[in-house]
Amino acid sequence: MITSIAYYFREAFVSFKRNWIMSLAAISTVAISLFMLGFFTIVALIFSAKFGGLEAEANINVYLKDDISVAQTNTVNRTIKTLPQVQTATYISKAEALRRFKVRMKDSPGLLDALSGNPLPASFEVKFKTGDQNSASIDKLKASLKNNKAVDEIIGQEVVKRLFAIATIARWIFITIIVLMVFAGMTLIINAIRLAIYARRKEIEIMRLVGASNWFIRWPFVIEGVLSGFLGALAATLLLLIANNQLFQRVETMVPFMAFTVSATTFLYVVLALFTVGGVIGAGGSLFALRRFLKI
Amino acid sequence: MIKMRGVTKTYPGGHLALDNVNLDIEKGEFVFLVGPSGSGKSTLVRCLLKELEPTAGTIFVAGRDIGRLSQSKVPYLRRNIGCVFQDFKLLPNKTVYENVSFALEVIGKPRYMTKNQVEDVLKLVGLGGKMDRYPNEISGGEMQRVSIARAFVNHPPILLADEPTGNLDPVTTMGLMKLFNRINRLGTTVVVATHDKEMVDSMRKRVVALEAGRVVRDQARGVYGH
Repeated sequence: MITSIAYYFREAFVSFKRNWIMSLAAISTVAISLFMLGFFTIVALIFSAKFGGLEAEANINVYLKDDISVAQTNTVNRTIKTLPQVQTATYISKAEALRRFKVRMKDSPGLLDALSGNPLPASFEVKFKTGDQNSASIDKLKASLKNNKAVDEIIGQEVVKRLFAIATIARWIFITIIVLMVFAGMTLIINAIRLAIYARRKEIEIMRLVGASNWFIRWPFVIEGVLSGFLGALAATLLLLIANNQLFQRVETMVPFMAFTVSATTFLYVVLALFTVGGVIGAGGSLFALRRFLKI
Repeated sequence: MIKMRGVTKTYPGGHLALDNVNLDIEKGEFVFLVGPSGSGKSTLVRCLLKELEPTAGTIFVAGRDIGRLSQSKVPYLRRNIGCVFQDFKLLPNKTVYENVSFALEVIGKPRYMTKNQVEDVLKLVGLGGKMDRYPNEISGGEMQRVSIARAFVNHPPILLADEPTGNLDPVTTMGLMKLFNRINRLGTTVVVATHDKEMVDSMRKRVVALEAGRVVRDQARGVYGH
Protein backbone atom coordinates (compact mmCIF):
# COMPACT_ATOMS: atom_id res chain seq x y z
CA MET A 1 0.00 0.00 0.00
CA ILE A 2 2.68 2.45 1.09
CA THR A 3 4.86 1.41 -1.82
CA SER A 4 1.92 2.06 -4.16
CA ILE A 5 1.45 5.54 -2.74
CA ALA A 6 5.17 6.17 -3.18
CA TYR A 7 4.82 4.91 -6.74
CA TYR A 8 1.90 7.27 -7.45
CA PHE A 9 3.81 10.30 -6.21
CA ARG A 10 7.04 9.35 -7.95
CA GLU A 11 5.14 8.69 -11.17
CA ALA A 12 3.29 12.01 -10.89
CA PHE A 13 6.48 14.01 -10.34
CA VAL A 14 8.48 12.19 -13.01
CA SER A 15 5.79 12.64 -15.65
CA PHE A 16 5.33 16.22 -14.54
CA LYS A 17 9.00 16.82 -15.24
CA ARG A 18 9.15 14.83 -18.47
CA ASN A 19 6.05 16.47 -19.90
CA TRP A 20 6.96 19.89 -18.62
CA ILE A 21 5.69 21.82 -21.66
CA MET A 22 2.23 20.37 -21.20
CA SER A 23 2.48 20.89 -17.45
CA LEU A 24 3.48 24.50 -18.02
CA ALA A 25 0.52 25.02 -20.37
CA ALA A 26 -1.86 23.63 -17.77
CA ILE A 27 -0.29 25.68 -14.97
CA SER A 28 -0.47 28.96 -16.88
CA THR A 29 -4.11 28.33 -17.77
CA VAL A 30 -4.88 27.65 -14.12
CA ALA A 31 -2.85 30.68 -13.04
CA ILE A 32 -4.59 33.08 -15.41
CA SER A 33 -8.07 31.76 -14.67
CA LEU A 34 -7.51 31.84 -10.92
CA PHE A 35 -5.94 35.29 -11.07
CA MET A 36 -8.99 36.68 -12.89
CA LEU A 37 -11.23 34.98 -10.39
CA GLY A 38 -9.24 36.26 -7.42
CA PHE A 39 -8.99 39.79 -8.84
CA PHE A 40 -12.70 39.98 -9.45
CA THR A 41 -13.53 38.51 -6.06
CA ILE A 42 -11.43 41.18 -4.39
CA VAL A 43 -13.07 43.95 -6.43
CA ALA A 44 -16.46 42.48 -5.55
CA LEU A 45 -15.50 42.37 -1.86
CA ILE A 46 -14.40 46.01 -1.93
CA PHE A 47 -17.66 47.16 -3.52
CA SER A 48 -19.70 44.94 -1.27
CA ALA A 49 -17.97 46.51 1.75
CA LYS A 50 -18.85 49.97 0.38
CA PHE A 51 -22.47 49.05 -0.15
CA GLY A 52 -22.60 47.35 3.23
CA GLY A 53 -21.46 50.66 4.76
CA LEU A 54 -24.12 52.62 2.92
CA GLU A 55 -26.79 50.16 3.97
CA ALA A 56 -25.79 50.42 7.60
CA GLU A 57 -25.96 54.22 7.40
CA ALA A 58 -29.34 54.18 5.74
CA ASN A 59 -31.91 54.76 8.43
CA ILE A 60 -35.57 55.46 8.51
CA ASN A 61 -37.27 58.17 10.52
CA VAL A 62 -40.64 57.61 12.15
CA TYR A 63 -42.04 61.10 12.86
CA LEU A 64 -44.46 61.55 15.71
CA LYS A 65 -47.34 63.96 16.10
CA ASP A 66 -46.77 66.92 18.39
CA ASP A 67 -49.46 66.57 21.00
CA ILE A 68 -49.01 62.99 22.20
CA SER A 69 -48.49 61.56 25.66
CA VAL A 70 -45.37 59.83 27.01
CA ALA A 71 -47.37 56.58 27.12
CA GLN A 72 -48.16 56.89 23.42
CA THR A 73 -44.48 57.52 22.66
CA ASN A 74 -43.55 54.43 24.65
CA THR A 75 -46.08 52.35 22.72
CA VAL A 76 -44.51 53.41 19.43
CA ASN A 77 -41.06 52.63 20.81
CA ARG A 78 -42.19 49.15 21.91
CA THR A 79 -43.93 48.43 18.59
CA ILE A 80 -40.80 49.29 16.64
CA LYS A 81 -38.47 47.34 18.94
CA THR A 82 -40.57 44.15 18.88
CA LEU A 83 -39.94 43.86 15.13
CA PRO A 84 -37.23 41.18 14.76
CA GLN A 85 -35.60 43.07 11.87
CA VAL A 86 -34.89 46.18 13.91
CA GLN A 87 -31.39 46.70 15.31
CA THR A 88 -31.87 50.03 17.11
CA ALA A 89 -34.56 52.66 17.47
CA THR A 90 -33.24 55.95 18.85
CA TYR A 91 -35.66 58.55 20.23
CA ILE A 92 -35.04 62.09 19.00
CA SER A 93 -37.00 64.56 21.08
CA LYS A 94 -38.29 67.86 19.72
CA ALA A 95 -35.50 69.69 21.58
CA GLU A 96 -32.85 67.34 20.24
CA ALA A 97 -34.22 67.73 16.71
CA LEU A 98 -33.99 71.52 17.03
CA ARG A 99 -30.43 71.30 18.39
CA ARG A 100 -29.35 69.14 15.43
CA PHE A 101 -31.11 71.51 13.03
CA LYS A 102 -29.28 74.47 14.55
CA VAL A 103 -25.96 72.70 14.20
CA ARG A 104 -26.69 71.98 10.58
CA MET A 105 -27.85 75.54 9.87
CA LYS A 106 -25.27 77.46 11.92
CA ASP A 107 -23.99 79.19 8.78
CA SER A 108 -27.29 80.94 8.20
CA PRO A 109 -28.34 82.39 11.57
CA GLY A 110 -31.03 84.61 10.03
CA LEU A 111 -33.06 81.56 9.21
CA LEU A 112 -33.15 80.48 12.84
CA ASP A 113 -34.43 83.86 14.00
CA ALA A 114 -37.42 83.47 11.75
CA LEU A 115 -38.47 80.39 13.68
CA SER A 116 -41.06 80.96 16.34
CA GLY A 117 -41.15 78.18 18.91
CA ASN A 118 -40.12 74.68 17.76
CA PRO A 119 -41.82 73.47 14.58
CA LEU A 120 -39.74 70.27 14.39
CA PRO A 121 -41.42 66.96 15.32
CA ALA A 122 -40.02 64.29 17.61
CA SER A 123 -39.01 61.08 15.88
CA PHE A 124 -37.52 57.59 16.11
CA GLU A 125 -34.40 56.77 14.05
CA VAL A 126 -34.70 53.12 13.05
CA LYS A 127 -31.78 50.96 11.95
CA PHE A 128 -32.27 47.44 10.61
CA LYS A 129 -30.07 44.44 11.32
CA THR A 130 -27.56 43.35 8.67
CA GLY A 131 -29.32 40.94 6.37
CA ASP A 132 -32.63 42.63 7.01
CA GLN A 133 -31.74 45.87 5.29
CA ASN A 134 -34.29 45.51 2.54
CA SER A 135 -37.62 46.91 1.44
CA ALA A 136 -39.50 44.01 3.03
CA SER A 137 -38.37 45.26 6.46
CA ILE A 138 -39.57 48.77 5.62
CA ASP A 139 -42.95 47.37 4.61
CA LYS A 140 -43.17 45.44 7.89
CA LEU A 141 -42.35 48.58 9.87
CA LYS A 142 -45.00 50.53 8.01
CA ALA A 143 -47.59 47.80 8.52
CA SER A 144 -46.99 47.59 12.25
CA LEU A 145 -47.41 51.37 12.71
CA LYS A 146 -50.28 51.82 10.28
CA ASN A 147 -53.03 52.08 12.90
CA ASN A 148 -51.00 53.99 15.46
CA LYS A 149 -52.51 57.46 15.87
CA ALA A 150 -49.32 58.88 17.38
CA VAL A 151 -47.34 58.39 14.15
CA ASP A 152 -47.40 61.25 11.70
CA GLU A 153 -45.19 60.09 8.86
CA ILE A 154 -42.49 57.55 7.97
CA ILE A 155 -39.81 59.32 5.98
CA GLY A 156 -36.81 58.13 4.08
CA GLN A 157 -38.51 55.03 2.81
CA GLU A 158 -38.36 55.69 -0.94
CA VAL A 159 -34.69 56.66 -0.99
CA VAL A 160 -33.74 53.81 1.29
CA LYS A 161 -35.83 51.35 -0.70
CA ARG A 162 -34.06 52.37 -3.91
CA LEU A 163 -30.69 52.04 -2.22
CA PHE A 164 -31.54 48.55 -1.05
CA ALA A 165 -32.72 47.60 -4.54
CA ILE A 166 -29.48 48.84 -6.11
CA ALA A 167 -27.41 46.93 -3.56
CA THR A 168 -29.36 43.74 -4.29
CA ILE A 169 -28.96 44.10 -8.05
CA ALA A 170 -25.24 44.85 -7.70
CA ARG A 171 -24.80 41.77 -5.52
CA TRP A 172 -26.51 39.55 -8.08
CA ILE A 173 -24.45 40.98 -10.90
CA PHE A 174 -21.27 40.23 -8.96
CA ILE A 175 -22.40 36.71 -8.12
CA THR A 176 -23.37 36.04 -11.76
CA ILE A 177 -20.02 37.31 -13.05
CA ILE A 178 -18.10 35.23 -10.51
CA VAL A 179 -20.09 32.09 -11.36
CA LEU A 180 -19.50 32.69 -15.08
CA MET A 181 -15.79 33.19 -14.43
CA VAL A 182 -15.55 29.98 -12.42
CA PHE A 183 -17.28 28.15 -15.25
CA ALA A 184 -15.10 29.69 -17.99
CA GLY A 185 -11.96 29.01 -15.94
CA MET A 186 -13.00 25.42 -15.35
CA THR A 187 -13.60 24.83 -19.05
CA LEU A 188 -10.19 26.28 -19.90
CA ILE A 189 -8.40 24.28 -17.24
CA ILE A 190 -10.13 21.00 -18.11
CA ASN A 191 -9.25 21.58 -21.74
CA ALA A 192 -5.59 22.13 -20.90
CA ILE A 193 -5.53 18.97 -18.79
CA ARG A 194 -7.30 17.04 -21.53
CA LEU A 195 -4.63 18.14 -24.00
CA ALA A 196 -1.90 17.00 -21.61
CA ILE A 197 -3.63 13.65 -21.15
CA TYR A 198 -4.37 13.30 -24.86
CA ALA A 199 -0.66 13.63 -25.52
CA ARG A 200 -0.20 10.58 -23.31
CA ARG A 201 -3.12 8.43 -24.48
CA LYS A 202 -0.69 5.79 -25.85
CA GLU A 203 0.83 5.45 -22.42
CA ILE A 204 -2.60 4.98 -20.84
CA GLU A 205 -3.56 2.40 -23.45
CA ILE A 206 -0.36 0.46 -22.74
CA MET A 207 -0.98 0.61 -19.02
CA ARG A 208 -4.43 -0.86 -19.60
CA LEU A 209 -3.06 -3.59 -21.83
CA VAL A 210 -0.41 -4.77 -19.40
CA GLY A 211 -3.03 -5.11 -16.69
CA ALA A 212 -2.99 -1.86 -14.71
CA SER A 213 -6.23 -1.26 -12.82
CA ASN A 214 -8.10 1.98 -13.47
CA TRP A 215 -7.25 3.57 -10.13
CA PHE A 216 -3.62 2.62 -10.57
CA ILE A 217 -3.67 4.68 -13.77
CA ARG A 218 -5.73 7.50 -12.30
CA TRP A 219 -3.79 8.29 -9.12
CA PRO A 220 -0.63 9.73 -10.71
CA PHE A 221 -2.76 11.86 -13.04
CA VAL A 222 -4.87 13.10 -10.14
CA ILE A 223 -1.77 13.97 -8.11
CA GLU A 224 -0.29 15.70 -11.14
CA GLY A 225 -3.57 17.61 -11.61
CA VAL A 226 -3.57 18.77 -7.99
CA LEU A 227 0.09 19.76 -8.32
CA SER A 228 -0.69 21.83 -11.45
CA GLY A 229 -3.67 23.36 -9.65
CA PHE A 230 -1.55 24.35 -6.64
CA LEU A 231 1.29 25.75 -8.73
CA GLY A 232 -1.26 27.69 -10.79
CA ALA A 233 -2.83 29.03 -7.60
CA LEU A 234 0.64 30.01 -6.35
CA ALA A 235 1.31 31.97 -9.55
CA ALA A 236 -2.14 33.56 -9.33
CA THR A 237 -1.40 34.59 -5.72
CA LEU A 238 1.83 36.27 -6.76
CA LEU A 239 0.00 38.14 -9.54
CA LEU A 240 -2.69 39.17 -7.06
CA LEU A 241 -0.07 40.45 -4.60
CA ILE A 242 1.42 42.55 -7.38
CA ALA A 243 -2.03 43.81 -8.36
CA ASN A 244 -2.78 44.58 -4.73
CA ASN A 245 0.43 46.57 -4.23
CA GLN A 246 0.59 48.27 -7.61
CA LEU A 247 -3.06 48.91 -8.33
CA PHE A 248 -5.42 48.85 -5.37
CA GLN A 249 -3.13 50.60 -2.95
CA ARG A 250 -2.21 53.22 -5.54
CA VAL A 251 -5.88 53.86 -6.25
CA GLU A 252 -6.41 54.27 -2.54
CA THR A 253 -3.68 56.89 -2.29
CA MET A 254 -5.26 58.79 -5.16
CA VAL A 255 -8.76 58.59 -3.75
CA PRO A 256 -8.05 58.71 -0.01
CA PHE A 257 -11.62 58.88 1.27
CA MET A 258 -12.53 55.56 -0.41
CA ALA A 259 -11.22 52.35 1.09
CA PHE A 260 -9.89 50.49 -1.92
CA THR A 261 -8.04 47.61 -0.29
CA VAL A 262 -9.04 44.48 1.53
CA SER A 263 -7.65 43.42 4.87
CA ALA A 264 -4.80 40.92 5.05
CA THR A 265 -7.18 38.34 6.51
CA THR A 266 -9.61 38.71 3.62
CA PHE A 267 -6.74 38.45 1.19
CA LEU A 268 -5.61 35.25 2.89
CA TYR A 269 -9.11 33.80 2.60
CA VAL A 270 -9.20 34.63 -1.10
CA VAL A 271 -5.82 32.93 -1.56
CA LEU A 272 -7.00 29.86 0.37
CA ALA A 273 -10.10 29.73 -1.82
CA LEU A 274 -7.93 29.92 -4.95
CA PHE A 275 -5.77 27.01 -3.76
CA THR A 276 -8.87 24.96 -2.97
CA VAL A 277 -10.46 25.74 -6.33
CA GLY A 278 -7.15 25.03 -8.12
CA GLY A 279 -6.64 21.69 -6.39
CA VAL A 280 -10.22 20.54 -6.84
CA ILE A 281 -10.33 21.55 -10.50
CA GLY A 282 -6.93 19.93 -11.11
CA ALA A 283 -8.06 16.62 -9.62
CA GLY A 284 -11.57 16.75 -11.06
CA GLY A 285 -10.32 17.83 -14.47
CA SER A 286 -7.85 14.94 -14.59
CA LEU A 287 -10.52 12.41 -13.65
CA PHE A 288 -12.95 13.91 -16.15
CA ALA A 289 -10.41 13.99 -18.97
CA LEU A 290 -9.23 10.42 -18.25
CA ARG A 291 -12.69 8.87 -18.48
CA ARG A 292 -12.59 8.45 -22.23
CA PHE A 293 -9.18 6.81 -22.29
CA LEU A 294 -9.94 4.15 -19.68
CA LYS A 295 -12.55 2.35 -21.73
CA ILE A 296 -10.12 0.07 -23.60
CA MET B 1 -6.42 -23.02 -21.26
CA ILE B 2 -8.13 -21.18 -24.12
CA LYS B 3 -11.50 -22.27 -25.49
CA MET B 4 -13.36 -20.40 -28.23
CA ARG B 5 -16.88 -21.35 -29.21
CA GLY B 6 -18.61 -19.85 -32.23
CA VAL B 7 -16.64 -16.62 -31.96
CA THR B 8 -17.71 -14.10 -34.58
CA LYS B 9 -16.56 -10.51 -34.88
CA THR B 10 -18.12 -8.02 -37.24
CA TYR B 11 -16.57 -4.56 -37.23
CA PRO B 12 -18.78 -1.50 -37.44
CA GLY B 13 -19.22 -1.05 -41.17
CA GLY B 14 -19.89 -4.70 -41.72
CA HIS B 15 -16.45 -6.21 -42.21
CA LEU B 16 -16.52 -9.81 -40.96
CA ALA B 17 -13.17 -10.41 -39.26
CA LEU B 18 -13.88 -13.67 -37.42
CA ASP B 19 -16.50 -16.13 -38.64
CA ASN B 20 -17.68 -18.78 -36.19
CA VAL B 21 -14.24 -19.70 -34.81
CA ASN B 22 -13.98 -22.79 -32.59
CA LEU B 23 -10.59 -23.41 -31.06
CA ASP B 24 -9.12 -25.30 -28.10
CA ILE B 25 -5.62 -24.66 -26.84
CA GLU B 26 -4.35 -26.79 -23.98
CA LYS B 27 -2.07 -25.74 -21.17
CA GLY B 28 1.58 -25.79 -22.20
CA GLU B 29 0.90 -25.87 -25.95
CA PHE B 30 2.82 -23.91 -28.58
CA VAL B 31 0.50 -22.79 -31.36
CA PHE B 32 1.12 -20.84 -34.55
CA LEU B 33 -1.81 -18.84 -35.85
CA VAL B 34 -1.16 -18.34 -39.55
CA GLY B 35 -2.90 -16.71 -42.46
CA PRO B 36 -2.56 -13.80 -44.84
CA SER B 37 -2.99 -10.21 -43.71
CA GLY B 38 -6.62 -9.49 -42.93
CA SER B 39 -7.45 -13.11 -42.17
CA GLY B 40 -8.39 -12.27 -38.58
CA LYS B 41 -5.26 -13.19 -36.58
CA SER B 42 -4.93 -9.84 -34.86
CA THR B 43 -8.66 -9.64 -34.18
CA LEU B 44 -8.49 -13.04 -32.49
CA VAL B 45 -5.57 -11.93 -30.31
CA ARG B 46 -7.33 -8.69 -29.36
CA CYS B 47 -10.49 -10.61 -28.47
CA LEU B 48 -8.48 -12.86 -26.15
CA LEU B 49 -7.16 -9.75 -24.36
CA LYS B 50 -10.71 -8.35 -24.18
CA GLU B 51 -9.47 -5.34 -26.06
CA LEU B 52 -12.35 -6.13 -28.44
CA GLU B 53 -15.69 -7.75 -27.72
CA PRO B 54 -16.78 -10.53 -30.09
CA THR B 55 -20.12 -9.92 -31.78
CA ALA B 56 -21.18 -13.49 -31.00
CA GLY B 57 -19.76 -16.58 -29.31
CA THR B 58 -17.90 -17.16 -26.06
CA ILE B 59 -14.26 -17.22 -25.08
CA PHE B 60 -12.99 -19.08 -22.02
CA VAL B 61 -9.58 -18.34 -20.57
CA ALA B 62 -8.51 -20.68 -17.76
CA GLY B 63 -12.12 -21.86 -17.49
CA ARG B 64 -13.60 -18.37 -17.19
CA ASP B 65 -16.04 -16.80 -19.65
CA ILE B 66 -14.26 -13.51 -20.33
CA GLY B 67 -17.35 -12.04 -22.01
CA ARG B 68 -18.96 -11.90 -18.57
CA LEU B 69 -15.97 -10.27 -16.93
CA SER B 70 -16.77 -6.78 -15.62
CA GLN B 71 -14.68 -3.86 -16.78
CA SER B 72 -12.98 -3.61 -13.39
CA LYS B 73 -11.85 -7.28 -13.55
CA VAL B 74 -10.24 -6.94 -16.99
CA PRO B 75 -6.84 -5.93 -15.55
CA TYR B 76 -6.66 -9.29 -13.71
CA LEU B 77 -7.34 -11.18 -16.96
CA ARG B 78 -4.54 -9.26 -18.64
CA ARG B 79 -2.10 -10.03 -15.86
CA ASN B 80 -2.49 -13.69 -16.80
CA ILE B 81 -1.86 -13.06 -20.48
CA GLY B 82 1.47 -11.61 -21.49
CA CYS B 83 1.11 -10.01 -24.88
CA VAL B 84 3.77 -9.10 -27.43
CA PHE B 85 2.27 -6.44 -29.67
CA GLN B 86 2.80 -5.99 -33.37
CA ASP B 87 3.77 -2.35 -32.77
CA PHE B 88 5.67 -3.19 -29.54
CA LYS B 89 3.68 -0.64 -27.50
CA LEU B 90 6.67 0.48 -25.46
CA LEU B 91 6.46 3.64 -23.38
CA PRO B 92 8.72 6.12 -25.17
CA ASN B 93 9.57 8.08 -22.04
CA LYS B 94 10.67 5.09 -20.00
CA THR B 95 13.95 3.23 -20.30
CA VAL B 96 14.18 -0.42 -21.36
CA TYR B 97 14.49 -1.40 -17.71
CA GLU B 98 11.53 0.79 -16.67
CA ASN B 99 9.36 -0.53 -19.48
CA VAL B 100 9.82 -4.06 -18.18
CA SER B 101 9.63 -3.27 -14.46
CA PHE B 102 6.46 -1.32 -15.24
CA ALA B 103 4.56 -4.56 -15.92
CA LEU B 104 5.43 -5.64 -12.38
CA GLU B 105 4.73 -2.29 -10.79
CA VAL B 106 1.21 -2.21 -12.18
CA ILE B 107 0.42 -5.44 -10.36
CA GLY B 108 1.64 -3.90 -7.13
CA LYS B 109 5.16 -5.26 -6.77
CA PRO B 110 7.51 -2.58 -5.48
CA ARG B 111 10.57 -1.69 -7.50
CA TYR B 112 13.23 -2.87 -5.06
CA MET B 113 11.74 -6.36 -4.94
CA THR B 114 11.74 -6.85 -8.68
CA LYS B 115 15.24 -5.76 -9.60
CA ASN B 116 16.59 -9.30 -10.03
CA GLN B 117 13.48 -10.47 -11.84
CA VAL B 118 13.69 -7.64 -14.37
CA GLU B 119 17.41 -8.05 -14.89
CA ASP B 120 17.04 -11.81 -15.37
CA VAL B 121 14.37 -11.48 -18.02
CA LEU B 122 16.33 -8.77 -19.84
CA LYS B 123 19.38 -11.07 -19.88
CA LEU B 124 17.13 -13.87 -21.14
CA VAL B 125 16.19 -11.76 -24.17
CA GLY B 126 19.80 -10.63 -24.59
CA LEU B 127 19.40 -7.00 -23.54
CA GLY B 128 21.37 -7.13 -20.31
CA GLY B 129 23.66 -4.37 -21.57
CA LYS B 130 21.01 -1.94 -22.81
CA MET B 131 18.79 -1.57 -19.79
CA ASP B 132 19.19 2.20 -19.49
CA ARG B 133 18.48 3.01 -23.14
CA TYR B 134 15.25 4.63 -24.24
CA PRO B 135 13.14 2.89 -26.92
CA ASN B 136 14.17 5.39 -29.62
CA GLU B 137 17.82 4.54 -28.97
CA ILE B 138 17.56 0.84 -29.83
CA SER B 139 16.78 -1.15 -32.98
CA GLY B 140 13.43 -2.63 -34.00
CA GLY B 141 14.54 -6.13 -33.11
CA GLU B 142 15.66 -4.94 -29.70
CA MET B 143 12.35 -3.16 -29.11
CA GLN B 144 10.60 -6.39 -30.01
CA ARG B 145 12.67 -8.20 -27.41
CA VAL B 146 11.87 -5.56 -24.77
CA SER B 147 8.22 -6.16 -25.59
CA ILE B 148 8.72 -9.91 -25.08
CA ALA B 149 10.59 -9.35 -21.83
CA ARG B 150 7.74 -7.18 -20.56
CA ALA B 151 5.13 -9.74 -21.59
CA PHE B 152 7.00 -12.54 -19.85
CA VAL B 153 8.48 -10.88 -16.78
CA ASN B 154 5.72 -11.92 -14.37
CA HIS B 155 5.63 -15.44 -15.83
CA PRO B 156 2.04 -15.39 -17.04
CA PRO B 157 0.42 -18.75 -17.85
CA ILE B 158 -0.31 -17.54 -21.39
CA LEU B 159 1.93 -15.63 -23.80
CA LEU B 160 0.35 -14.11 -26.91
CA ALA B 161 2.46 -12.67 -29.72
CA ASP B 162 1.01 -10.74 -32.62
CA GLU B 163 3.40 -10.72 -35.61
CA PRO B 164 6.44 -10.66 -33.34
CA THR B 165 8.85 -10.95 -36.25
CA GLY B 166 7.11 -8.42 -38.49
CA ASN B 167 10.12 -6.53 -39.85
CA LEU B 168 13.01 -8.52 -38.47
CA ASP B 169 15.85 -10.19 -40.34
CA PRO B 170 16.00 -14.03 -40.43
CA VAL B 171 18.77 -14.32 -37.84
CA THR B 172 16.95 -12.18 -35.30
CA THR B 173 13.76 -14.07 -36.09
CA MET B 174 15.36 -17.41 -35.30
CA GLY B 175 16.73 -15.99 -32.06
CA LEU B 176 13.25 -14.86 -31.07
CA MET B 177 11.77 -18.25 -31.91
CA LYS B 178 14.32 -19.97 -29.71
CA LEU B 179 13.31 -17.56 -26.98
CA PHE B 180 9.62 -18.42 -27.38
CA ASN B 181 10.50 -22.10 -27.32
CA ARG B 182 12.44 -21.65 -24.09
CA ILE B 183 9.53 -19.76 -22.53
CA ASN B 184 7.17 -22.51 -23.67
CA ARG B 185 9.34 -25.18 -22.04
CA LEU B 186 9.06 -23.28 -18.75
CA GLY B 187 5.35 -24.25 -18.86
CA THR B 188 3.81 -21.20 -20.52
CA THR B 189 1.16 -21.64 -23.19
CA VAL B 190 2.44 -19.74 -26.24
CA VAL B 191 0.31 -18.50 -29.13
CA VAL B 192 2.14 -16.78 -32.01
CA ALA B 193 0.22 -15.08 -34.81
CA THR B 194 2.41 -14.76 -37.87
CA HIS B 195 2.68 -14.95 -41.64
CA ASP B 196 6.36 -15.86 -41.56
CA LYS B 197 6.40 -19.12 -43.52
CA GLU B 198 10.01 -20.10 -42.89
CA MET B 199 9.70 -19.69 -39.17
CA VAL B 200 6.58 -21.83 -38.95
CA ASP B 201 8.01 -24.52 -41.19
CA SER B 202 11.23 -24.79 -39.22
CA MET B 203 9.56 -25.03 -35.80
CA ARG B 204 7.17 -27.90 -36.50
CA LYS B 205 4.56 -26.87 -33.98
CA ARG B 206 0.77 -26.98 -34.04
CA VAL B 207 -0.52 -24.71 -36.83
CA VAL B 208 -3.98 -23.15 -36.94
CA ALA B 209 -4.63 -21.51 -40.30
CA LEU B 210 -7.16 -18.71 -40.68
CA GLU B 211 -8.62 -17.49 -43.94
CA ALA B 212 -11.22 -14.73 -44.17
CA GLY B 213 -11.97 -15.20 -40.48
CA ARG B 214 -12.50 -18.97 -40.62
CA VAL B 215 -10.30 -21.76 -39.28
CA VAL B 216 -9.41 -23.66 -42.45
CA ARG B 217 -6.78 -26.01 -41.04
CA ASP B 218 -5.66 -27.20 -37.60
CA GLN B 219 -2.63 -29.45 -37.75
CA ALA B 220 -0.31 -30.82 -35.07
CA ARG B 221 3.39 -30.45 -36.02
CA GLY B 222 2.29 -28.61 -39.13
CA VAL B 223 3.73 -26.33 -41.75
CA TYR B 224 2.59 -22.94 -43.01
CA GLY B 225 0.87 -24.33 -46.08
CA HIS B 226 0.86 -23.66 -49.72
